[in-house]
Amino acid sequence: MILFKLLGKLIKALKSADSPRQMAWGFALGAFLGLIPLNTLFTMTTFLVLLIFRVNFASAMLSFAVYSAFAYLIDPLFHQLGFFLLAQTAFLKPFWTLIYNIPIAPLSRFNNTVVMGSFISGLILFVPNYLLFRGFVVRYRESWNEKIGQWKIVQLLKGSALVKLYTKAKMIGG
Amino acid sequence: MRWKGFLIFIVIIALITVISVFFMDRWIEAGLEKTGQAITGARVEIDHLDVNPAQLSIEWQRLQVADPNNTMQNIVETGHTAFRMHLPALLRKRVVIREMALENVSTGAPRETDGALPKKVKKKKRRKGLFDKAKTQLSAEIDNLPVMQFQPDQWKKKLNLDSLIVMSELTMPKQLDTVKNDILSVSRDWEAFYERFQPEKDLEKIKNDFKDLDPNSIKTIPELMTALKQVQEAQKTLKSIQDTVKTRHQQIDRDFHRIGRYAQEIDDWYQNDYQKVLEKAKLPDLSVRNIGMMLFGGTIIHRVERYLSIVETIRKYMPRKSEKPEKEKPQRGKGQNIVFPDRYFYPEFLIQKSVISGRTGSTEEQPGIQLSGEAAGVNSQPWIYGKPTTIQLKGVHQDQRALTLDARLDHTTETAKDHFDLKMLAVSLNQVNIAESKYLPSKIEKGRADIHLVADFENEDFNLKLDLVAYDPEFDFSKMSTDNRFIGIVRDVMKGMDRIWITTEISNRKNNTQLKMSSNLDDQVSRELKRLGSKALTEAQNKVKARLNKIRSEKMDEVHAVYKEKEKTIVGKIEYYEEKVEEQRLMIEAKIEQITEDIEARKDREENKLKKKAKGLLDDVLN
Repeated sequence: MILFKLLGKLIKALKSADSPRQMAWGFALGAFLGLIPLNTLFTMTTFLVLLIFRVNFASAMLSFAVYSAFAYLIDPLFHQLGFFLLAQTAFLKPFWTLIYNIPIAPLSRFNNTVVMGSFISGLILFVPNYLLFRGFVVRYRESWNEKIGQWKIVQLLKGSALVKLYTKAKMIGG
Repeated sequence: MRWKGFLIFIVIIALITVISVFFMDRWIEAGLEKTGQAITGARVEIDHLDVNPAQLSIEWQRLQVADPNNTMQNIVETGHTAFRMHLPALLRKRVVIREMALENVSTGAPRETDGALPKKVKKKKRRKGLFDKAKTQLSAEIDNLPVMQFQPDQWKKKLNLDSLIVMSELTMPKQLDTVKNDILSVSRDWEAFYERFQPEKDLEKIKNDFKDLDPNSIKTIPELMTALKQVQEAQKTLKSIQDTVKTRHQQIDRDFHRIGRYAQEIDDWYQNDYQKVLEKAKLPDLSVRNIGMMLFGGTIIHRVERYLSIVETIRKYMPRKSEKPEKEKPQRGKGQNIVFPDRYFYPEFLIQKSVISGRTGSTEEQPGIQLSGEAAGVNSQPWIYGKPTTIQLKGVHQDQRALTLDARLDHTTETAKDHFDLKMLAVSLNQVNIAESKYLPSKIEKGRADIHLVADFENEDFNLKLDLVAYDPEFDFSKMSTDNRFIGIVRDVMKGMDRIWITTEISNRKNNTQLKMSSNLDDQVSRELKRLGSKALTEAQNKVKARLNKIRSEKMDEVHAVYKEKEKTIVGKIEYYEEKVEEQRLMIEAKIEQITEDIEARKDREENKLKKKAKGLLDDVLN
């Protein structure tokens, strides 16, 4: 339900005045937010960035929803990657030790394998996410907009038509 | 820049902070209770927890930790407790408490409500204990010990010697058969020798050739010389026969002497067989030294196991240093926290000093002992803190009861070394349940005890020594089995003892758990068993001995007869040859002497003749 709502908002945003850069920033930040566990300082910082900078919020929320589900699925891989970086990479140990001893820094939970694994994955995916989504927005606005606008599903999603339908159906069903 | 967004962020943070301040007490209380419950497996309750964020202090009025083995009792309870957290450490996500005051700590206090956790909360599956194997072994040993079938009247009646002899697979008859075969084999060899060795013809020839030889009948000296030569030749032949007979006689003597030596081993074979039959007959060795272990082994193991589970829990939350973090398989989304060296030696959790005051559990009859002491260096990462954890508790009561506990847990290196020394004096044994054992009274009704427990752990290995001296114990024997005489004897002995001491040593080296236990009950019960059972046992043993003697005697007669017969034949024959050879030797030597003397006499005569003749001729010439 929320995903449909977000899709609707995204389609609206794709046509909005927000630039492809704002849209892409929103998407990349949302993806980063979706990958890392919520109870860390990284989440709060990323959320603050999302709020105070003029990035597209709808694309951020959509990518956050998609990447959260994705992150849950590949959680064991994050653990593997985090363990490798934190415990098995000898040359990084002095660096981690330094951070570990800085006040506040340990509150980021960087020394947790899943947090570290997902954080690094988020960073690695940030640039491709940004570039790909910016490319998608540009291409959409240039040539796909009209074609996609004629799709029935898009018609339904426009103005949250599906939401209205869903609400009606729910009321009929009791 | 979106200032509106920034404002929203500030509002959200402010809201979170306000809510946290309002609900922090409840959250921390719930968090601590949940963590405690996860560790102990029983209910943990904190009353009136108060957090002061400005001072970073926490205090509560009461903490109750239910005993998972008796949920209507608290394993630990504290009164007012207060501590402050160290800010620099907290900013580094470490909880460091410089000093904590724990007042009115008590153990074994009864609870108003049941401390069991709701069923939906899964209790941790019990890991197979270190002593499970030892306990199973001990139980099997107890049931299989011959002394448990202490039925003197049955020993004689039930003794089926025929089947026992078959079952015991006696070695003595087999060994005696071997001796017999040896005799026969040696005899065969000598009989074969006698078939080859036939000196009779030579001896007869010598006898016939020289028996009638008369030197006087020989006319000339040359003829005499020839006869002497022939006799000397016969002497040589005789010497050769004599040498052979002598050598063989010595060999025969050696062979029969060797066979004769078997006699010395017969007693050993007999004793071995005797022990075998006793074993099969399950006739007990009444000087058994393990009665103390049989009686108290299970009970003490059960108690020690409980202490060990506490140590195990402590060790779990105070892990030893490991060179590299071991990879875990965490729950989804949880991950694994990797720990790095801390510049300030702050572990994730540390209570530097904890001042404890309280009392042991009170009973209806007597109040608990007032305790005081301190625990230092309680922490979750000892290798970071770098100092061992120490606990000292002391308490004395006017009625001579006393308790001291000294513990040192050193997990600062890869080898975790723990030492516990617990002394309890004049502990009341009134109404103390012992165990559900048919060999033991179910509880001690009255008495006192001094207990001294010293335990040393090194990683998975440990050595534990428990000395217990019970004074004036009065036992409840009502649940003990009545049809087993051994149990009856134990009961009588225990009734008459005013002091029972038990020393237990349990060690675990490389997963090999050993239990040693000694007690003055051993001597007492053994003595009584011997007194009651010795007559019946001696008769049963004599019966076994008589049968074995009969077997030995029959077999020995058989072997002896063969030995005598063969010895007579073999030795008799060689002695006969010796006699014959000697006879001829004497005859030949006499003949040689005769001939030699005759030759000498004749030589003298001829010489005189020649002298006379020469003198006559000389006289003629001169005259």
